[in-house]
Amino acid sequence: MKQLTIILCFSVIFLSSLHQNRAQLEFELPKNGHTNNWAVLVDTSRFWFNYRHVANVLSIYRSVKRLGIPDSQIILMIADDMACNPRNPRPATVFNNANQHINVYGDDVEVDYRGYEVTVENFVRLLTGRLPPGTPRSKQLITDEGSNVLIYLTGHGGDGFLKFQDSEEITSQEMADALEQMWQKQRYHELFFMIDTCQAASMYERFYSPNILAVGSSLVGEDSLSHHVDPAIGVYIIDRYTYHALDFLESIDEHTNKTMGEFLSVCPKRVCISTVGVRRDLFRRNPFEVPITDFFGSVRPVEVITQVAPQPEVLNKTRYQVTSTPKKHRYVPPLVNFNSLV
Amino acid sequence: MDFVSMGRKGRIQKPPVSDDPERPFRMYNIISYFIVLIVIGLPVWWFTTRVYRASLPLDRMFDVTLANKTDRQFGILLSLEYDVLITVVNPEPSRLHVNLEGEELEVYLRPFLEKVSPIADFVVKSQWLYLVELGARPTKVIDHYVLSEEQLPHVITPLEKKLWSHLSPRPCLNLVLYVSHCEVPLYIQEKSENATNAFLSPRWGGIVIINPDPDSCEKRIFQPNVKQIGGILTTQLSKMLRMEGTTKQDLIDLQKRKAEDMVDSTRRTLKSLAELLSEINSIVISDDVALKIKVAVDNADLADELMAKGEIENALTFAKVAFENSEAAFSDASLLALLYFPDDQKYAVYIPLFLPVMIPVLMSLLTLKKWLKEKEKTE
Repeated sequence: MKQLTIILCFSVIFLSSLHQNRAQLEFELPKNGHTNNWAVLVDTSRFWFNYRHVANVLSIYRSVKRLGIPDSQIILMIADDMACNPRNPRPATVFNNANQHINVYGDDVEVDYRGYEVTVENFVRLLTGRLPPGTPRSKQLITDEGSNVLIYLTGHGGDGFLKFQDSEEITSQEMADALEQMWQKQRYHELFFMIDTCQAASMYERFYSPNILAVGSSLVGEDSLSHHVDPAIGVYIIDRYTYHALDFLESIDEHTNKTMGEFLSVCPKRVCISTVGVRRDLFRRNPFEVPITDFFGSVRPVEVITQVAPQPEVLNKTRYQVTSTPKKHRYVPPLVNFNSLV
Repeated sequence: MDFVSMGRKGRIQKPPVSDDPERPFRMYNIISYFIVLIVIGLPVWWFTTRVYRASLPLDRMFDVTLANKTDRQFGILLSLEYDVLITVVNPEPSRLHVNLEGEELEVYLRPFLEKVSPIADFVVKSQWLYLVELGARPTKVIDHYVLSEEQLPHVITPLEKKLWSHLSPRPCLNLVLYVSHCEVPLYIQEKSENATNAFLSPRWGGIVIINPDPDSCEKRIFQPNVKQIGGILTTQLSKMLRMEGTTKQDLIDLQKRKAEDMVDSTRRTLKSLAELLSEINSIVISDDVALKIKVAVDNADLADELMAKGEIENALTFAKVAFENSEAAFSDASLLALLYFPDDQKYAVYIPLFLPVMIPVLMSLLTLKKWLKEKEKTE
């Protein structure tokens, strides 16, 4: 009996090590750079007193847009409406600072999943690409093997789960499985996972797919704290980790030389109170050599065309007739020319 | 009943075992419960709550050789149809009217697109953008302005937001024509006679900068050289498709490359699906999806055989079918049907229902065992 258990233990250990070796052999060091950038920004909490989570995600959205990622490549999921909430003393605005000098809601925010559409099912379907046919293109994550994806999650979390909408949760195993499905279908080149919740590090502990760099605002057993209250609005309006991350992002522009390594050390314990956790064993490059615009901006590779191939004459013009359709639109000068009103 | 013995000992004596005529029936009762609950019930529960997976040719999906992808250059997204979006950007329409029809340009693109049509369908669209500037600031060199190569990516990024190329479900190849301001002749890198003034980003599209001549600026109407522009656009398209030129041999190479890419993508998709099925327990494979997978596997093998024989065009047809089916199978929404029912939750739901019923049945097996032992003794 004893020998049987020993043999069983050894075989289990041996088999599990085999599986890991196979996974490691398939890690490919990315030789080519990425070609496009996407961002998935999710706020999972509702109710007025979670104003700060909406402000968090809108601030990151603003930074990411400012650094160059277009709206068509940002998926923004916000679980509740703070700007038009009846309890908002400043309607149609969301501020992330008690000075109220930046309205992060602005007038060109494009929310793709709003209110009750922010569910675990929609989130996992979005990441794995298994949305029902007929879903509008703005709600789909159409990434490919050259896409660098930024995933930002904020809300209330615990040890191994993240709470969605106060009624359901996504476990760290489901998150890891969703990212593995993304990897298997080559839906990302490199992935940067940012999470600002309590016990954030527990969410990335189970990841097993390559090329993922993860940062969480607190370790297991620690709570992430909010930054300050705005007395005019009456609630906490931003979290500490996101506040300091934004401080960093607002100081750079798309021509910056700053690296991801500097971004990862952005909130030391004395200001954040919780310890920022980083997972870099799945990421093959050194974060100090990765420019921050690899994930937060959008810089496409270009090639200048030096010569044109000689074109054959279009001899058979009757075959390619110019069928000009009657024009529906024409240019009309704008009503007031503000340039002349100096 | 012996009342005397009851009074003396204070408890009721059980009647002797051999006297009870109903004992065998009680034992048969226990046996029938056991049969219904455990012998029939447990397998029925197991089969009705398992994750449904239709039969798949898993060994054919696993046992494939895949091409090495690390040193391949990124080209355009692999797809069966593409949008070609021609955008003409006129930053000052009140000062200059550009006389250009999208259809005229299409005439010059059509011959090329027809030649490459076996690999995919191309839908050509055109649009006009007014009052939009380029995002980068050019440097002034004597009498003209120059954009350096480092500035070019920062031209694409702000322009992308305004193009609305993401409206259609097909991947978009953007061809942008920027007509510069009248007194700001703009060149890329340096001014020269043979300069095409065009650049491209391999996955996104290309931009051509057109400078109107001073005569047109005075007359306020500009007629660009459509033939020349058509040539540049065709070159950009052929570079995006990674073709060396437009000769017949280049076309055959393109078809061969696309067929190989599609077969490789099919095999990769199916292999990763097979690996996911073994890693994650809660993925459902319906009959529909299983049929698509089978079609994809068969067509991929057929395309391989035809390519080995040299029949590239037929191989391409089968490769397209395989690619379409494998993508549809992998991204079918029904695969996540059991998303909210992972294994540990399944047990957590059924154990409180079944365990209280099972415990008395299992305990009564002991009584059954005792009865059988006694029967053996008496026989």
